[in-house]
Amino acid sequence: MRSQISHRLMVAVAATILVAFSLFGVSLIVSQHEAMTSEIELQANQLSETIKSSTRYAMLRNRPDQVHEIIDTIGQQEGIDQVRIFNKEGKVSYADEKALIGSLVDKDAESCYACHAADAPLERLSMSERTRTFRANGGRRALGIINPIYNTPSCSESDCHAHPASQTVLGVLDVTMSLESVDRQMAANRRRALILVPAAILAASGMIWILFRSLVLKPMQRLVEATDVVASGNLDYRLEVKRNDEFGRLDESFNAMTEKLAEAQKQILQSNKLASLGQLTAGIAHEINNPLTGVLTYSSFLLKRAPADSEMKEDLETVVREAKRCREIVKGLLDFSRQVPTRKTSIDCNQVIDRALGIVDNQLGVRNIQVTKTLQTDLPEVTGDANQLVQVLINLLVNAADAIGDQGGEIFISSGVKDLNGGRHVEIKVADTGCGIPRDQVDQVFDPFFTSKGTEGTGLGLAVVWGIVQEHGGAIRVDSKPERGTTFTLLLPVHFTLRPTTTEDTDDAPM
Amino acid sequence: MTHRCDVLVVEDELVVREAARKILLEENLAVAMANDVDEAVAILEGTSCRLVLTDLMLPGASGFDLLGLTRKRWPSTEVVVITGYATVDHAVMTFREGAFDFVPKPFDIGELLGVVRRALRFSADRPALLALAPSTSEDEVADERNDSCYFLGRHSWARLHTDGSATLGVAETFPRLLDKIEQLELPAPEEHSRQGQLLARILAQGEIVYRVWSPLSGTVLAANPRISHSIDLIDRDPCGAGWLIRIIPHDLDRELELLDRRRFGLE
Repeated sequence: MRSQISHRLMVAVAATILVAFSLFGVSLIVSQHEAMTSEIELQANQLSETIKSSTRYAMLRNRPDQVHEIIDTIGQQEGIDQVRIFNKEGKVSYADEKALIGSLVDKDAESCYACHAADAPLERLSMSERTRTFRANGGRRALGIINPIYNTPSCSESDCHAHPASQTVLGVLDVTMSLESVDRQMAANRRRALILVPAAILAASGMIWILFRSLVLKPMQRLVEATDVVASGNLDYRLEVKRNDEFGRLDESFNAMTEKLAEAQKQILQSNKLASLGQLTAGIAHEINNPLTGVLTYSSFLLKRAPADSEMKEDLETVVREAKRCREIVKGLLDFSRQVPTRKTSIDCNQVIDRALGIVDNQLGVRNIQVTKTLQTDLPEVTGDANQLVQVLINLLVNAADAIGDQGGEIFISSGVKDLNGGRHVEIKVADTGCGIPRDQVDQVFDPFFTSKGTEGTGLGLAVVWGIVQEHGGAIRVDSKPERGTTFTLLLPVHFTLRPTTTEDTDDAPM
Repeated sequence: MTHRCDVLVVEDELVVREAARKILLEENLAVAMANDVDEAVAILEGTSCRLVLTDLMLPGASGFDLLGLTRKRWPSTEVVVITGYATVDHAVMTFREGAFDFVPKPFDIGELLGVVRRALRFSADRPALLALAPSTSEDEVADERNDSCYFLGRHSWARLHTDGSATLGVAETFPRLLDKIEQLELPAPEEHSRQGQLLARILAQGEIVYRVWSPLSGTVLAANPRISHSIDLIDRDPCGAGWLIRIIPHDLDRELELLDRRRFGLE
């Protein structure tokens, strides 16, 4: 499972890097290519302008030899493929390559296409329209720029009278520059990218794998091993919590879970042990009871017949007394083995409150008492006897109503959660606007037969409340201000495991 | 052939049977003995017995079988069950099946005599005792009292109060079957009472012990303060002012189901 996760992660990382780097690389190469090309283009344009202006004088003077010389010189420079000047008919007049002079350039050739694409030749062109890239002989890429030579008055008025004034364009200067250096650079870049991207993918995947291993796989492996140990029955196993991250928290909750599990198992074991011990003792005690009946009866009879003040009477008294002691011991064993079934269930305290209110509702309504209920939803459940807790609340509500009397008032009942002494508790408050409890009597309210209601009350309501709350492992507190009202605060532990109410009291149970 | 038989002891344990016989003979009672249910039935068919004292665990049919049979065929014969060890189930069951009472082993002389005397007196005065109307209470109306009362056979009762406590006491017939009460032993506050187990011991002259079984389990709040001053309240108003102790019930829902609403149990 874990190898699959790491593999999947690495494949995903590699794919992401591949896509990202490819997009990035391609856009970088494209923009670089564009920048370099436009620079060449600019160079070519400048060159072409330079040639045009430097040959102008020679042209005006009608000195073709000078033009040839200039073109030859320039054409020898590195990066310049070809320099040609051809006239309007397409006849090459000057070229750095002498063989071309006099040849005709087809109007459909790439150098003419820009102007001659339309039927009538265009005379003014922008720079981009004048440039073109193409594959020259041998597959090398080249950039060509044409520069039309326009007729100017100085041309038509010159002594040679070579060009009539009616002509707009006298010819075209065509400079072709090699793009080889650009292409070389681009190829190098591409090669570099082809090496870099896989390297990056490898490095990133490797890093991810190492991180995954140390951050996820190892702690996970630890947990899996710990789970196996616990599953094999060692509930004392605890993980050392080393980290502060999610895995640290997982370790902590694993430990807490194991602890709870151990506790639960211990309780089950304990109760199983008690149950089997109980069966055993019950069996033995039952068998002992028969002979003990005989011993007790016959020794009692002998005792009755024994002469007063005799040694025999004393001895028999000992026998009877010790037989009775035996009986008590057996009875104790039997009481111990007896499991008193308890009816404790998980209880939603809000339901308990609603049930209690439902029962005393009428009584409160008649006495003009307003009840305000503030219940927290999603209360954790407590373990106990729902009926007993309803009784607790009824008693508290009835007390509150009695404290308020007949002139009307308010009762506030609320539920909530409170953490106390390291344990979670459900807190229920019953507050009234009644007469309150005199300061000197607050400590006595839970005592049996303490009552402020004269002959009306039994004085047991709060004693019963106290007893039930104790039975549930809870606590109850009273805060009272005379003439202002009384608040009873009830705390019931969440997840309270009941102590078995079986055996402490053995004195008065029969055999 | 019919001869007088006061008590028929049905017990397979020889030593217990002989011990019971010896105790009963001391009271000048006519005692018959049986080893199992078949023998017991044979005796009952030939002789009219006032009381059957039977163990629960017998070879073959059980003491419960004999109890049912006796109630059906010889309704005027009372049955007291001897239990090896009294569980709540056994105790409550014996009353539900119509037993007069039960006596847990091992018993001593006073304990056995206490229950046998009561049973014989009940059988002797049965119609009058069964017709015994609830006496009017000192501070409460009997009808209202009946609504909140639950009975363990015709032995003891529990009364529920609106404050969540319960008072426990002995049934009306109980005091009428006793000798002069000398002493009353009640559990102290904070102690626990348990359904079907000892609630109180009433001691009478001649080391006779009458035991009262509790109808409910709970924590004892207090004993009746008035009864400690005048024990004869039990005699005068057993179901009212003569209540014995007040408890906080532990397991009311379950235990009430096992009790009777009727005053004299199954008649």
